[in-house]
Amino acid sequence: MVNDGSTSGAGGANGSKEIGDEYNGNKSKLNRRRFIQAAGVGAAATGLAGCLGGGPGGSSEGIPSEVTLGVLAPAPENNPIGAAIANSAELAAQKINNSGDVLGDADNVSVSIKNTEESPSTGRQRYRELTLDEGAHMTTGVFTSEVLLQLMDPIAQQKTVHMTTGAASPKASNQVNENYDKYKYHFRSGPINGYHLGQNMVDFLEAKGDDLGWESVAILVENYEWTNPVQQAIEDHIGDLDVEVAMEERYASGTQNFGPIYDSVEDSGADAAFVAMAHTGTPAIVQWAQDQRPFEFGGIHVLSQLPAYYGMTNGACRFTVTQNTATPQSDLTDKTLPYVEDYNSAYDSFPVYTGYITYDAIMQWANVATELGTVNSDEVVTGLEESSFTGTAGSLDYYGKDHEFAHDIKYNFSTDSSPEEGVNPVFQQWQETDGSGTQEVLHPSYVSSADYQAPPWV
Amino acid sequence: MTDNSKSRLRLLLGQLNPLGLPLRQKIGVFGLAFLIALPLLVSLPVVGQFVVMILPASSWELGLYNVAAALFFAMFAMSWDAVSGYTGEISFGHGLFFAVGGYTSAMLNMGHGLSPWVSVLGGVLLAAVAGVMIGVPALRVEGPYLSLVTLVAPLILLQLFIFMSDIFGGEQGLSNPENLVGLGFVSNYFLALGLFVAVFALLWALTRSNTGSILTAIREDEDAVSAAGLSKAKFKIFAFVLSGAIGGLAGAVYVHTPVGSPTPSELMSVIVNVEVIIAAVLGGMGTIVGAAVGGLFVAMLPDYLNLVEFTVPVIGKSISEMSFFLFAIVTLFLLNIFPGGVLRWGIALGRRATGRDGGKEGMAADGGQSPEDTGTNPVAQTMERYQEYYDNMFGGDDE
Repeated sequence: MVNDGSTSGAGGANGSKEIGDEYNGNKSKLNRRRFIQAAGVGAAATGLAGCLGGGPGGSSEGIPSEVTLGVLAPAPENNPIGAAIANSAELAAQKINNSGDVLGDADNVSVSIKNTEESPSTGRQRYRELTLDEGAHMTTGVFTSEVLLQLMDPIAQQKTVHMTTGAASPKASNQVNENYDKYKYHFRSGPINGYHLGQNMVDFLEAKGDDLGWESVAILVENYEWTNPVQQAIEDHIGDLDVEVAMEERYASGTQNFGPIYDSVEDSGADAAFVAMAHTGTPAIVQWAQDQRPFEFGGIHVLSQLPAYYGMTNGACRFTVTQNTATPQSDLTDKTLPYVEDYNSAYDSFPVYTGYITYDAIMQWANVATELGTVNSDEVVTGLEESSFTGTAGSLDYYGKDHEFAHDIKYNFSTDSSPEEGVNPVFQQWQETDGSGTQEVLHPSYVSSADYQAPPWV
Repeated sequence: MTDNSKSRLRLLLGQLNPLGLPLRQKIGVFGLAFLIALPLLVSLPVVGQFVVMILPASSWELGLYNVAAALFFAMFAMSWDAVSGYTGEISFGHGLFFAVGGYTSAMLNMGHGLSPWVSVLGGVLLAAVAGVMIGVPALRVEGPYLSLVTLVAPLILLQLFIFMSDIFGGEQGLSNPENLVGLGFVSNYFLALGLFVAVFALLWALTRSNTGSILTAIREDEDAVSAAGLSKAKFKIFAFVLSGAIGGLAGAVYVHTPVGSPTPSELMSVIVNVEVIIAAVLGGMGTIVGAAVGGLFVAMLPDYLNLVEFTVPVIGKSISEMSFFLFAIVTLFLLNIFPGGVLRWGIALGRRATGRDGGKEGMAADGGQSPEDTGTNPVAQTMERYQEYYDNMFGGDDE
């Protein structure tokens, strides 16, 4: 340790990036706990340990007795999206600890959860605490694209596998594709990336548009960074469909009054508003329902994906359609419903989509590490690239390094059979049964639980 | 005048001998020496272990990064202090300069392939231009009106960034540009420390010169400055350009290190703008030293709180979860008990302790006048200025 410290001083002063990288690789697992342990053993032994512990990847060979999973979530105490990430990580660790097979060589698998506060600088700080201070063997989570993009360099620096389970910006996978050796430690276990989200909307419209009776649509997209690739994909593909685009509007971020926008939709004569909304979703949906606007409503509405949203909007989201990773009603794989039940009995609520994805990411990582018999990140990267793992949301397969969306989860649209590779997101509709709202699945047909109900006022 | 310059030069030269320094400056030199030796200290056996304990992280690597980030924040606070602390024209939007510096340099580096060493200069230049753009209106609008202008300016810039998000990356900001000295923990620490010392030395020397006295005089009584035949316009613009250039320099170098990146939330958010003011006022407005110390404190306090694993019994939340809340409470408390800033309080306390509180002839940290002399402090003076404007606004002069 002592030796490493002085070497690093020289390397740092030299100012060379390579030296900095190499030095960091050697030292990435050096935290205070180890520091104190090592100091007790003595300087000579420490020096030796420093030499032996080196090597790219930074992790010691094999499966350590104590495995630490680092989790980054936005406000896990309050935000349902963050809570789902944190709770599902705990649930996955518990599952691994209880099973004798997965990471069986480890005595204990623990989870360390940090709050990104949706701020890039806080996210970066917390990420470094996880990897440098706590020696996390892998990290997961991250909901906000802004945070993820600023984490790409720290991830490259720490050379530790990171599996994103919320942020959808394809810029991250483009970076992996363009500079593979540097950024290969990043994987996106879900949701499908922003471009695929848009493509998924168009694919759904193609498959189900006739059933829904949506012959013309008004595209409404909120003006935030995340919708750029979504809108791009819609524009690229909607022309191939036999659906008229009656209007298209990218409305201002922070919009509260949807009156004028909805007036234009009405004037355009569109059958439905085809939306991409997250931040502005609630006023949009409440005003649509209260004013009983004569058009239907569907697309990607992030807040509608929350299982508790019906109560939160007092039922205003009834009849709206949104894409989702999975719902408590969707029996996508034989792992989906058991996970939902475990989650519900542990936390007395249903998971948000980030929960399914986080649970899958950790289970996939643990299975790959078990198969390889190591937590070494370089080896696990190769393992994940070759892995095809059935999770709660579908099959977790990643695009290869030459794909423009390198290391993103594969997207595979299918209406009537579960794809062998990749995920096929569901489209749900909020319906009311016995006075309470449920997220009924309209698509794909192999998990659909109800038929589409048009709003009675249309 | 010449004699005056000579005596000032002698004074400055005399201050270079550490043994001849007053106690407060000895403490400062010791603090600086500690910061310089820090990377070496952490690598020593046993001693290193204790040094890591006092760092704002549980590993020395992250500790050095965190201190480096705090040094950049201290530079932001010093750049604010150079204009607002001295002239009393409170800027609520200093993030504008950090952002102009940081974004310009990042875009020149990534978009035009310039070496970061060159692009940083571009950032400084444009930030200085931004200083002129804020400084010139400052001649026409003063006090609360100017504060409003500075409050709105970064909001306009942010809207521009969102509006032209294909160029500026909107709210997500830009990705990381090339680093000046790679990713090394030690090298980046020394980069931050070197720049901190350079900025500090420049601002310290400037504010202790005649220029500093004139800027202080503008805060105390603008009419007196005009009556003395000095152009307050010239000095105000100078202060804004200087402050803009320094803030831009710090912002530009910051984005070229692993501790920072060109995003609105790091460089120009309302929180940044306010924290910079809190840091300078808390440390001691109009002293530069105070802004430096306050900046380090404000930047590192949340890191320290974050390390505390203690859970508060009744509400069941850990200290680290509430770190920002506690940070706000602690700063509010400190601002209440030390309205003149911690630095002034510390100096007064030190003088009492060493029995030198009668020595009013010595140069005070705020560049020539000590709070005891005037019976008030820069915060109070600025408040008084603002009170005047408000009184005029609401016809309070009738009372």
